[in-house]
Amino acid sequence: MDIFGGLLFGLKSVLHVDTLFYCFVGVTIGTLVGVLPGIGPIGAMSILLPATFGISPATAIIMLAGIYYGAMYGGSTTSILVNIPGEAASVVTCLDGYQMAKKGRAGPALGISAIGSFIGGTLSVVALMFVAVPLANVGLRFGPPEFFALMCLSMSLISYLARGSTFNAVLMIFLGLILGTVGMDPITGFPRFYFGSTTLLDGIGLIPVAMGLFGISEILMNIELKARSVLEAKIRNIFPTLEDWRRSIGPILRGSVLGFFFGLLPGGGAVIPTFVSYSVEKRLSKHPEEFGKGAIEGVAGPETANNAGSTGAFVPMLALGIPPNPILAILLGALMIHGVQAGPLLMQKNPEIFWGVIASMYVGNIMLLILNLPLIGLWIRILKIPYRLLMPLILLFCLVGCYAVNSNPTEIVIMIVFGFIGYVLRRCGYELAPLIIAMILGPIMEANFRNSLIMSDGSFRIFVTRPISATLLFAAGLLFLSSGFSAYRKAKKRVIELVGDED
Amino acid sequence: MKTAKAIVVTLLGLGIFVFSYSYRMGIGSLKSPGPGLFPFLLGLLLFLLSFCKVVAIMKKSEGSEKRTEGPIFFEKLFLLLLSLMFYAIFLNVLGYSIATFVTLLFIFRIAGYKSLPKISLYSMIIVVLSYFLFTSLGVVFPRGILGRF
Repeated sequence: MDIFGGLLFGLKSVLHVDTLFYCFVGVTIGTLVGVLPGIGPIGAMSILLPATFGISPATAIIMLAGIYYGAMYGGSTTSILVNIPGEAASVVTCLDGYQMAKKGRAGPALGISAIGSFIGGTLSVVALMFVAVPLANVGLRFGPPEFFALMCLSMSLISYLARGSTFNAVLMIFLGLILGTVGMDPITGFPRFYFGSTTLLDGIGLIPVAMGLFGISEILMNIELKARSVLEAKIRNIFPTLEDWRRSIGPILRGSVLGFFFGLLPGGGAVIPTFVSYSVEKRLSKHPEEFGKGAIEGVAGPETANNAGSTGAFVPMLALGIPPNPILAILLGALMIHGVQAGPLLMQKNPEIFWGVIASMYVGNIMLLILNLPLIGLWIRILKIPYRLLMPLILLFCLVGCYAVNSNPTEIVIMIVFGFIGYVLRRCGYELAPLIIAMILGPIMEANFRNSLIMSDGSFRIFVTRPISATLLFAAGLLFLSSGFSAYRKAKKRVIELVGDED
Repeated sequence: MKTAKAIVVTLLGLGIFVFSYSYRMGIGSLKSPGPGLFPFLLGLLLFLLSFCKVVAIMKKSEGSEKRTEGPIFFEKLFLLLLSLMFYAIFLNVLGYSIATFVTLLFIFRIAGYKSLPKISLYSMIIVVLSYFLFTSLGVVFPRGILGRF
């Protein structure tokens, strides 16, 4: 099936009443969780996962994907009106979006953010089609050593791009990989680290861990969140003026390109391109002094980049089965629960999922534009719901969502334990994304590692004698070393500063 | 700093536990890797990395690094975790309606609501609405003690 044939096939499967309905539900919930604090797309996807068991895998994934890119749209509303990002990917939008709102320009800020998100999302879907298909074809040539090397490269990238300490990210990767070994051995079925618990015999569930690490820990972090003050000014002139367009079109196009390419990188996702886009726009601007004081370019670029990034992140997941961020790790887990194996064969074995998800993004982006422009007043009203009322509701959804997967209260205990672990780790500056990605990739990585050794009669040379595997491992090693050197440089700089201070 | 140390020491202990436990599971040979090989390697690497981190923290402990963290609300944190544990333990015994109602009462209280009639009303409404919402999505809840009548 060629690209356009595939797209038509996808559109045909999406343009059904029930699929459109689930896509709409997904993007609406996504916008909602983007607007609301204390619950992100990961929590929402985990909670809704059990509700998808009765529908086809393609429809389920379309709905869950809608939550992801919908949240990117919703996150900007809180950044602009409350100065609190609904999502990590909207942090940068606070800088100029809130300043614009304070100057009475909340309307154009919200408008350009929705339109930019739409353009970025749509251009990114086009790019996704053209990149994912050839990449999946390359992936078909991969054997166990190549997949193992690819996962090593993913782990290196995740630790390299970690916002905090690289060393801490590496520790989290090892912790995640170890958690992934709990349960039955993927090759022999030998039970490991289950300590007599039938729940652990199947492995530590992805949903309890994800909900604990990202849902419960978030609530524990926000336990004392005070009421937020929403700008009371009337939102007028949502459609940007010609001058706004003139200033924004460049940042939107650049944001689309940056977002898509950073989205492809494991660990990149939608957050990093927003920072890159902001600094690029500031550097290119004729009036850099306006940045931070309400420059529309500072909203248009990053908001476009986060949507383009969230779409670009689907490429490695759909084409190679490698999730570049925790949200797509949940999506990969959802595919597995539905009995679908993501990776190079997805396009051949389940074209309705591969092309259905791509086609649904075109439809979903249009739905989001409609939801986010005329219905902005509704989202503002939702923003005013006090957190102390939301918190019990979010917790209840976490509890029920976790229980509903297997009707097993032990999984709630696992969720609570991971919620506390996540809270402690976050307070000490550890990132949780490497942990969850490693936990999901762990069993696949192990199976490929052991199969490679069996193939080579126990020789590690198989990883370096095959060209693709050798290249990937070389790149992984290079990244690892360069992050080590940069950490060394930073440490050295700190020491010099300290000595200097003492002198 | 104390929590950071505790985390690294825990990881160090976990590394030791994992590599010793997986060694006993059987690491096999390189030609025929056993179920313990991969976790053995992971445990060993986690131990080595954590050890390096412990040494780094020890060296730095006299230094100037101080993380500026927000205040920790121990009481609320503890009560919230306790309420959630209560839910997990008593869900099957009490059934969805009673366990959820009681847990919500606690959580609303922890969230800052003072009036008992108000939080009882909120909890009741949420229990009823959520029951219908989730059962319509196909979730089957335990009936607990209500199932006996």
